[in-house]
Formats: sequence, structure tokens, C-alpha cells
Amino acid sequence: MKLNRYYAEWLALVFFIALVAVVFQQISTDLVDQGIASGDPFHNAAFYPRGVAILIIVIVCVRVVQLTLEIKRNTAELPFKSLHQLILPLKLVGLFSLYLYLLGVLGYHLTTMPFLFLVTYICGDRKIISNILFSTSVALLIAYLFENFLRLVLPGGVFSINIPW
Amino acid sequence: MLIDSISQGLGLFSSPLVILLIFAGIIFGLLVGAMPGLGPLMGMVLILPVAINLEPITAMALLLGIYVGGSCGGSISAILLRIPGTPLAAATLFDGYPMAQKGRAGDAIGLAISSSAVGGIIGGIVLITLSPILATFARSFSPPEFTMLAITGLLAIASVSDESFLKGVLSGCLGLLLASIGTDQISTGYRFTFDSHHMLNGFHLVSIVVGLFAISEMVFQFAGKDLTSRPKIDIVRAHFGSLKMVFKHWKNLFRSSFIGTFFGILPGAGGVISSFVAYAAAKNAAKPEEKYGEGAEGGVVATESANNATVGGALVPSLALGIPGDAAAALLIATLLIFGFFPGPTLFEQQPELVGGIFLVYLTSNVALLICGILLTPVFVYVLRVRKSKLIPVILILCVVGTFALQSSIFDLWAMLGFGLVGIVLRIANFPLSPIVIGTILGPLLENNLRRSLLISREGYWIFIDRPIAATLLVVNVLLIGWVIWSTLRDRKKEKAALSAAQ
Repeated sequence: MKLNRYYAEWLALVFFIALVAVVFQQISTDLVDQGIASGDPFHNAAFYPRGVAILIIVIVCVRVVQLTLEIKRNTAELPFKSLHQLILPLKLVGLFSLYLYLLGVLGYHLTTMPFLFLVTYICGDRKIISNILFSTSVALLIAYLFENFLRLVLPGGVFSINIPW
Repeated sequence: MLIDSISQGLGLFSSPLVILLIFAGIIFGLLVGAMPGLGPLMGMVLILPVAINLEPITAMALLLGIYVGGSCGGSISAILLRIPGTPLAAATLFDGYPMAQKGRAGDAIGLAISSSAVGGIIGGIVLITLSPILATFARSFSPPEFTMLAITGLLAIASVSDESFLKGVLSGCLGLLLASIGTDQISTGYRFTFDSHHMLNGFHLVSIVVGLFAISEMVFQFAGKDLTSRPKIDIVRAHFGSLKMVFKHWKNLFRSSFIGTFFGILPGAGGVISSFVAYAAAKNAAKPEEKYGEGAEGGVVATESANNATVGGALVPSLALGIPGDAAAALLIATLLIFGFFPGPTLFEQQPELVGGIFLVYLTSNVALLICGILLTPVFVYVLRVRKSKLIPVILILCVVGTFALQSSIFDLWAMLGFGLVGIVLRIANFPLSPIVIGTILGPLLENNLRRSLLISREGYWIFIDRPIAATLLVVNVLLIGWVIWSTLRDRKKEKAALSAAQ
């Protein structure tokens, strides 16, 4: 299946519709429960987000009409021309999500070096020794800069691993 | 007021750390500017978490250095590789690349850096002169005027968005909604927090910006080819003699710098438009023997002086009114807000020393650009050889560590990833991302002033017509929308005509 901007825009419009649905759902439940969704515009906390959500839905409707009546579809190719080419970026997103999850559990020092190594490897850089050296030095250098110079504590995880520079 | 502000700013400015960070910012800016796909905004995004841990003026020194350096850095890859490092340098390759092909790459880079520095200084002089006047004028503004001004800022940015005005407005609205998450300042109730204590203050602006710009960009870079290849480029050296070459084109230099500053002041117009307009103006005014498009020095001078002068121009509405000229200026405003300063007339009134300090930082950045740019050209050329397979993971880790450092919160990292995914979808669909950031910045200004206007009004929305300045801004907004509709219909008509002619 070929991917192009025409389908992508429909996806984006669905995102905006979902966003508006969440706004109205929250206004009619949570904000009403708190008693802040009524009264004059100054005291009504729902006044402004409702207005923005209505504007979004109006524009989405106009875009839907425009897209349907479009003379020439915007079939400009994407960086990912086919579903097959999405695999590499999806791998990165998956790996990055896993890294974020493990960062909270195992901490910065146990997760960052493997993450750097794997991303470099997936990119096609298959020199194992040079990648290990690169990943270790970058992970330590960034930790040193942030922990030593900026006095910031990086995630230590359940083992509370932090290097006392 | 102007002299007072600068003399008070001198105290803040004259610190070795500020000067050091200006130079560091310039070098980092030139590096990220030179690397295709990154640019000044990305550089500022990556450094923002570090910057907000510094003193306000040192943070401004670092960020403004990146803004100035990054706006010029794109010319290096445009000249050497025919790939503009940033869209700002797109027009530079018309004459910069042919110059390099003729064996004058060093001259071309020297010209680009020198014209950027001089253009930036001219933009700075306009900034220093114009912004206090604008801020003084804006002192008489009350909620209705600020409401209309925020709408003007948002519409102006959406109207010059790459694809369509409606997409720009949708992106802006997304930013406005994001800004409304958290504790409502007036009712103190919680909006869209989903009972999570992480959301009580909404999403941190840094996680929004890093996700939208940096994470999505890295995924896009990942989808590209040649992740492990490195271009073969000979090391090039620039020289200070190029400054003399720039002044041979002094008419072009001043004209282009003023064009750049003018487009910078208009919210949303930005450096890309200004560099193309300046190039067109220079080409029209040139003699036929100058041969624009075949390696004319004037072409490089025009585009580079214009795009750096735009930075000075963009700071005028940002500092004087709190309305960002572009996404990078929005980040500067966001940084000031994080420090508890509110850009606009009150900043000029209550913190003149900070305003003066920012003016001095900006002017010095352009001098630093000239020095670092010329002396370190071989380093920036060398950086173009860095493999993406090494660059992408490093940038991802910097995003993670920088975002975590804000509040030591893993939640911010998940928010960053979420905004990264949103950024990917919107970029694929050709939605501009800058209006989201600008909407997030303008959101509180718009909402608070809109609700206050309606509170003080006895006739509802008529308050926006009763007050002359608000009414004028309303007319500007209506004209802006009218112009967009007219130009869309005109383009559609042309498209139809072209299609029927083809059949």
C-alpha cells in the first residue's frame, strides 16, 4: 500500500475530532461535577475550551468538505513511501518507548548504554566494538555533564544507581 | 528610557559567564544550523532544559546565541552540499553553491557569515529603537486590546503557514487547548487533568516542544536513507577579508537587512520569506553582468543578511507585546515565562535591566557570530561528515535527559513521546507545528484577557468594537481572514484553469 499525504490528513482530522470529543466529555462530566462549567464567561471555566473546541470542529468540517471536493489530491510522497518503510521508524518508536519504561525501573546508567548501542545498530552501523565504545562514552559524558555541572539527579531506578562524580 | 535600559542592562550583561555562553550558543547554533534537518529551533529545544537551570540573562545569552548562530549555520551546507541546513538558507544555495563550484567555497561561507553578522546588527539596532516605542504604546492596552492582539498573532502565523491557513489555525487551536489543561487561574478548578496530579499544571512546555519538534524530526531522519554514510567534503577556511567584500555590496546589504527586519516584525513571516524577497529585490536591482544564479556575491549577501536581520525583527513584537514573531521567538518568550517574567509592556517597565541585557546579548551575539564563524569554519564543515547513525541516538538521549531534568518526572518523558507521535502524524499530514507552540504561549494571554474583557463589558462582545485600538485590531483580523479566503479562491481558480488547459 502506497502512503501519501491525502490519507495522512484524514488521520490528522480524526485526531482533532477525538480531541474535541474529549473536551466535551470532560466539560459535561468532570467540570460539571466541580461546578465550574456554568455562569458568566469570567467564572465559567468551560467557556473558553468549549469555544476553541467549537472552532476546531467548524474548521474540521470545512477541511472535510474541501478534501472531498478537492480537484487534485495531494498525493505527494512521504518519507515513508510504503508500509514496509514504516518498519524502521516504528522500531525506533518501540525501542524508545521500551527505553522510557525501563528508565524508570532500572535507571539511567543501566538502560542508556544498551539503548544507544541498539539504535546505532538498527541504523546499520554494525561495528560492535566501536558501537560499544561510542555508547558507553556518550552515556557517561552526558551523565557527567548533567550530574556534575548542572547538579541534576538522573533516574536511579529501583537500584538507585547514580555515579558520585 | 532606551539609554537607561541599556545602561542598567550593562550590569547584568558584563559577566564572563554571559559572554562565554554567547560564544557557546553561537558555536552550538552554527553546528545545529549546519546539519541538515536540525536548525536553530531544534538547537534551542535541545538546550532549553539546560537554559532554564541558569540565571535569566545567562539563559537568554545561550538561547539567543543559538538563535543567531543557527540562523546562519544552514548556509554552510547550502554552499558546500547544495542542501540547505535549514529552510532559512534555501535561497543561499542559488549563488552560494555555484560559488563553491567555481572554487570559492571559502569566500562564499565568509560572505554568508559576515553578511549574517552585519544584517543581525542592523536588525538589533531596529530592535533597540523600535521595541521600547512599541512597548510604551502598548502600556495603554487593557484586556480587550490584548485579546485582539493575541488573535492577530495567531492568525498572522497561521496565514503564512506552508500548507493551508485552516491547517495553521487548527494547529494554533491545538496549542490553545493544551494551554488550558491544568488549574484554571480564575475558578481554580481542574480542567482536563483526568484526576492525575501530574496534570495539575498542564503539560510542561518543554516536553511539548521537544516531543513535537525533536522526537518527530528524529523519527523522520530515521526513515531517510544513508544513515551510515558521510559526505565527502574538503575542509574549507573562511577569512575576515570577506567583511570587506560584504561592504562592496553595501546598498544590497542595507536593503536586505531592512527587508529581513520588516518581515521579522510581522508575526509568522519569518526568515524564509524575507530571504527570498531580499534575493528577488537584489536580483532586480543588480546589473546584468553580476549574473545572479551563477555565483553572484550579491545573492549570498542578500539572503544571509535578510535571514539574520529577521531575528532582530522577530524579537520586537516578542519583547514589546509578548506576541512571538516565530516559533524560536516563542521559545524565548516561554523561557522568560518559566523564569516568571512576562514579555510585553510590563517587562520594559518593571525589568528594564533585563530588557537592556537582552539587547546587549543580541548585539554581542552577532559580533561573536562573525568571530566564531570565520575562525571555526573548518569545524562546522567537519561536522557535516558526522553519520546520522551516531547523531540520532545522541539527540534522543539529550531530549530524554533534558526533559527529565525539568521536574525529575518520568511523566514528562511519556508526555514528550506522546507529543512526538502527534508531531509525526501532523507533519505527515503537512500541518505546521509552530502555531501549536505559539498557541500554547498565547493561550493564557488570550483566555485571561477574553474572560476579563467580558467581565468588564456591559454590552458583551461589543467591548471589542467600542474601544478604538481593539476595533482596529479586529478589523486587521477580519482583513487577514478576508485576504486568506481571497487568495485561496484565487489559487483554486488558477488550479482549475491549469487543469482544464491540460485537458
